[in-house]
Amino acid sequence: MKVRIIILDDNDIDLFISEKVVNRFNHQIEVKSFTNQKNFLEYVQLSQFEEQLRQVFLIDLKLVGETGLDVADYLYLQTSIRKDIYFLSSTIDQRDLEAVRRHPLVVDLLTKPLQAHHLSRILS
Amino acid sequence: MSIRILYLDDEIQNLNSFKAAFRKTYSVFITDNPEEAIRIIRDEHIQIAIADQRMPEMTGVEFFAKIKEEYPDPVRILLTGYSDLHTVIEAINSGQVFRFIDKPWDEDSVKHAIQSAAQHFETKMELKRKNEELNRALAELDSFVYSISHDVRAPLMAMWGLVNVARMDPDPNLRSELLDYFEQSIQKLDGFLNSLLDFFRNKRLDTVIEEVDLRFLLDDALALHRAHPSNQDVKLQVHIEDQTLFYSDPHRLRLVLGNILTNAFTYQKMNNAEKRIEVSMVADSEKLDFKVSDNGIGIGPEHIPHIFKIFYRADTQSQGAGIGLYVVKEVVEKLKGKIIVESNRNEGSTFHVIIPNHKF
Repeated sequence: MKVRIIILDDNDIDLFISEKVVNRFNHQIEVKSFTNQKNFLEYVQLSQFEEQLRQVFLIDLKLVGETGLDVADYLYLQTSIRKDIYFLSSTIDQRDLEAVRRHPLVVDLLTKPLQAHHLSRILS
Repeated sequence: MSIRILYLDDEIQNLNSFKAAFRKTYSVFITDNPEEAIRIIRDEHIQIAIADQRMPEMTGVEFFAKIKEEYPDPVRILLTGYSDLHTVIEAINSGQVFRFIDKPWDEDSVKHAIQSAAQHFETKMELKRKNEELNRALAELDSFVYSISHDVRAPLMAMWGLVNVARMDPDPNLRSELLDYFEQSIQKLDGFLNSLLDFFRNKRLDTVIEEVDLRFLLDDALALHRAHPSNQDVKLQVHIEDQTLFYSDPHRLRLVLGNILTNAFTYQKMNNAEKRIEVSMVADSEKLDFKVSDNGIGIGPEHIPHIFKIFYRADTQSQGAGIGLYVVKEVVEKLKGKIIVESNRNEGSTFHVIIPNHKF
């Protein structure tokens, strides 16, 4: 099955790194990246119905204005997406970790920078 | 400032003679009505509350018990005759009153009681102030630990990621892009560390008041921004009136000017053909009026109440750590000035700072 990784991160550099790492890991994986929540959500609204496709979401936890958790809430309420949602964060703060664990949709919190071993684990 | 005393007694004669005896030494408020007494405590910053024990509506001890919860600050002194000894002992032991004065009172013993009550009041207030400072410092420390884990680690982790990318992708065309990103991360980290230093310098160092060369200070603060390639299309208008000698702490003023100007240059609308910043600096014998207006992205009304909070970031365009305006507010407070913000999203912002002239 085709795999698409959708990244939402308002930090240009981190986004650049994540794209490069995914491309290098497996260039057949399609990468879609967004720096802004609105465009991300609009895209997901449409893409969720595509068939023969596994979509994996990597969402920056510390988005300015809204947190990654708010975005996950939105996915839960407004879309039928129920799996493959991961957060990215440069820190593992205990408070963040607990908040992420409590969220019904989110699988895990990945420490930045995104690396190949993260992807092997997610996609295995 | 003289000690502010309330005296509650049902006998008008006592009230009047008390006032006559002490009104020159202290600020004395008298009343025979407990409700009125509560109002006076509330409105008049009373430091010492004196009440007669035997009153028709309620006893002095009952009165103190009533005000203690809501107005714990005034030190309480009970006036009473020996026949009430039992009540008095109980009142003192249960912490309701600080002292008692036996009736009929003589001037010296009242004065003595008032002096030690005033001292007690000062000590209590000092303790309260220290506690507030301590709580604030602890809250700041908490935010710092959280922010350092993010603001120091984020650019470091980005650099680590960039190293990984450089290792796995030998494409030479990628090199300059990687180096650009590397530089950005370093600058971000450096910027964060500098603002941390500013913050602690303002916190710990004593204010040094000297004559300030306002023109030099402003030119210096503007020079950095003027030289920056990304600001070449910003139209800058500067107005200075500095004929009056102005005294303040030049290092702290530099922080205020620097941070506000940085924001004005940073938060421009990217594709605006007419980027504009107006700076006005007017000093007179009373104050310095410093005003910076821009036609940049502005601040939404929902963010304005929070922009001076530590580590608050209002916008995705925001590159800072959320310390700059917090430092500005702290410095302005330290210099006993004030700051006013007017802003509309997409129209621009005006930061208006007023700093008193600390003439000798």
